[in-house]
Amino acid sequence: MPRKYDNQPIRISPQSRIRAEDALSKIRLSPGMTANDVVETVAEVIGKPIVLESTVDDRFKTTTGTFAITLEFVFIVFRGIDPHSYQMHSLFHELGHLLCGHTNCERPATAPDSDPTRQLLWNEAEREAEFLAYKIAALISRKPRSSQAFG
Amino acid sequence: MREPSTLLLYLTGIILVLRAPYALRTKASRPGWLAGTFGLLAVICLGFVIPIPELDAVLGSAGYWNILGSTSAILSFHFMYQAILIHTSREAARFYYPGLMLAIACCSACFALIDDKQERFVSVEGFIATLIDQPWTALYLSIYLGSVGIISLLSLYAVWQTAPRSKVFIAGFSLVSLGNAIDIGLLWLQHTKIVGPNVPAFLYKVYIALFFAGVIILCGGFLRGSFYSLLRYHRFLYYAVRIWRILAHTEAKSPNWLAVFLDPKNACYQGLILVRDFMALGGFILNSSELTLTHRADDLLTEFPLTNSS
Repeated sequence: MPRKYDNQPIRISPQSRIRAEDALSKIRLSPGMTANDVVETVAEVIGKPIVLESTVDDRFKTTTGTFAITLEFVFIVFRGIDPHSYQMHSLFHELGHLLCGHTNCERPATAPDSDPTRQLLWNEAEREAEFLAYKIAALISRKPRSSQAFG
Repeated sequence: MREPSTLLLYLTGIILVLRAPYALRTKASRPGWLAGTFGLLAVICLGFVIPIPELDAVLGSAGYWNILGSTSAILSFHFMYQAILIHTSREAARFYYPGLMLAIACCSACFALIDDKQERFVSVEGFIATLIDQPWTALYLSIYLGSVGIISLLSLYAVWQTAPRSKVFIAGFSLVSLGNAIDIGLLWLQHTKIVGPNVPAFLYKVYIALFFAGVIILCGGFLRGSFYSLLRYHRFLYYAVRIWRILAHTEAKSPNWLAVFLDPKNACYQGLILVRDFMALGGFILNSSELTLTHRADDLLTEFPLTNSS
């Protein structure tokens, strides 16, 4: 893995990093893939179709996205009022959970800290998913090899 | 020859500087950068920037500027071919690498067998005019020009076989191949003395026009991508720095500025996500100009590097 993609803002434990990178190695991401391509790739790995839903529901005021696993499919909901790159980040975060085999995307019952980023990344599972979200974005947004040759 | 050489000097110098950041970080960028670097060395060995006697003095006053120039030109085209292979996702031609090594070895051997003191020449033209009678001189120059011509033809073939065909590279490699073929013919005409003095003078001008036009077009093709990348880099850098300045109000950890400068796109993306997290969870308010800035950064991110799903 190129070093530059390791410059992620998420600090995770070595064990979590190994788990996240193992999960990432299950899928093959290439530059120029769209978010839909990533969703299809993850769906193949988990063996269930993934249904996406963008919502403007009031309950999603402070929740950026979540997912639910049913017997037939996986349902991912993300906040529709966010900018596109943020919606994609939320989507990649949920896909990170699915790749790691987590069963839900949790928020703490009470805010453990006033720091909002700690609220989001309050346990190992959330940090792993967030780490994967940055990794996925970085991997698909690399320049294609032909562009690297002359650009 | 002085004017096109000067232009080539600037172009290869720009390639050297402009592509250096990518070459340091990205393996696929290195052949293109090395092509420019060896091209610059080959142009310097023509003697228009640093006078030949001074250049020769640095190299031990043994006339090695000549072989250094020709080897640099061959290597420049070799790396250009490597960059084209990456660009077109093709494999090198069969026997290419042994052929290249053999050509460089034969070129050096023929140069060593030329029977004269090389250090007395102060230009390529003077060297050719005085020593073209010797078969080793004609052979040395033919192998050098032939190698460059063959590598250009291989590059042309790779570009031609790959859709969409790049007109810039087709034009550049065609002109270089044609120019070198004419110059090889010219050398043997001069060596065998079967034509009068006017014909070589005319053919030499044709060679200079074709070769330099081809190489300048190729430099343009190499620089086009770098120029667009540089523009994109500056746009991302601008947004990344502005976004991290906004984040400074939240007492968020200051970013690693080296990482921001090395990969501003990633920094812009990370900064934007943090801003949104703070806004959603921390009640962090942006003023209207800051909000516009984050929207613009988002447009830039989704426009090019992060492809949207819908």
